[in-house]
Amino acid sequence: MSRNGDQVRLTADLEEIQALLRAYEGPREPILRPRAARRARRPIVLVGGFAAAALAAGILAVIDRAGGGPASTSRATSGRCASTIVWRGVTYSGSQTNATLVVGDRFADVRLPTCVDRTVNGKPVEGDTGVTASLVKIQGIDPSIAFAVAGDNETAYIAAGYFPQVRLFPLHRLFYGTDEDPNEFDASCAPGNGYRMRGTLLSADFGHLTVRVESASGSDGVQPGRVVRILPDVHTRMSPEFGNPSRVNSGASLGIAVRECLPPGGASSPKLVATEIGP
Amino acid sequence: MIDHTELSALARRASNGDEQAVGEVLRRLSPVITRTARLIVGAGSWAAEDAAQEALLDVARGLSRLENPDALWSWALRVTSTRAVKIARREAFLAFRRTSDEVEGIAAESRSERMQALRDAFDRLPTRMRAVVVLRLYVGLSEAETAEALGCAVGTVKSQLHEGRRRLASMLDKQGFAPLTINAEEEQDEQKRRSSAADG
Repeated sequence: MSRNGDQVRLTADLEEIQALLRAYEGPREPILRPRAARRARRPIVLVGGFAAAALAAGILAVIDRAGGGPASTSRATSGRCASTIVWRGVTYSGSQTNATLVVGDRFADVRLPTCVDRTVNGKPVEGDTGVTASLVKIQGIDPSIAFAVAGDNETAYIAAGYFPQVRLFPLHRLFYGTDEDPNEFDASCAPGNGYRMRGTLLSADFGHLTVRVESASGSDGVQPGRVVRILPDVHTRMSPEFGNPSRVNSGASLGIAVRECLPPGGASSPKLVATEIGP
Repeated sequence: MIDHTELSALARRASNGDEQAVGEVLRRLSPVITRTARLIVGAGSWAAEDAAQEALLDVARGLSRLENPDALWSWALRVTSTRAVKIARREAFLAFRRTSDEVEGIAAESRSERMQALRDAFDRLPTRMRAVVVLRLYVGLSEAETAEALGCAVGTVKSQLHEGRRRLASMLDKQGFAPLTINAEEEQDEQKRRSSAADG
């Protein structure tokens, strides 16, 4: 190609490259692997104190070779370092808080095998068969909703079906520090179309709802039969019929109002944020 | 916006063992560390998320040994780049990143074919070239700072960025997307720089 007699080559536009990078910059913190949610959820808190991190890695890791007492078991929810405890048939997902929990009495013991990648002073621990840990109450919280593990007052295990993102959840401020977070519509995500859908809740783990859509109005992209991931945030309104704190159970039929959350640059699909969840 | 004066003061406290300051430094640097590592390794893969976490851990571990608190910002980016480049190479992740190793949300389907093509092209750049592009065009480091972060010469940064842009343009062009910038002056500057480097 030539211009004014000079031989030139094409180079990509700087602004276009910048737009690409911004479009894929992702959230401000690393995303945890699904079965390692505890680590990924609050990495800053975790790396803030290595003694605490080592303790947490050792005590909280639950892998699939775990044993369990008659009333409680633990299992892996993903590869390296699981973060859930199943107690009385309910799955509890562990997530680090932004403040120290005030804990109360021990109410159950569980066997917690260590992570396969657990390290002490940078070296893996060999022949580690895990530890017995006690489940303790969090002050003011029914253990059927959430509990902690003795020795770690910065991780709360939340029963499936509860959403700490919602402002009225009793541990909300402990997780987010403010009544204004988490707000999915921050600078990296602009509000898009809003519409309503009805669907069946397939799972409600910490962080999001997985829903099979039965019907949707006002959206071309969400067709019946499609399984979508919906994020609640601090502004999500939960129907009083779900109780206080609100709990939704897998298999429930839900009516959900969502708003699309559009990443900059139009490079990726919008996230779906729940504005209202009802029966 | 990072307040570097405040960051330096925090870094001093952190290097003296103030755990609260360590936490605050990490909180402030987390977005840039996370996103830099993610973009260098390749947004949308778990390898990238692992790299972001490991970079944060590297920074946390190194804070107590930081000799010059005023250099925290560039030091953290150097640590991050080193970790990200190492992981990107180790994982050879480009071959499988959008299959089983996909992170929902970041790796979502593109809504723009052109953006998707550009992203694919970016993923095919050599690791260090991606790092140069990310540090210069996303983080906004100067050529000198980028060179320091990657442990290479300023001239290398210039040429890598230019070559990266050229390759992106070429790959887009081959896929039928109308490019781009035609910058004769820039090209001439680059040719002069190459000639001068060859003469030297």
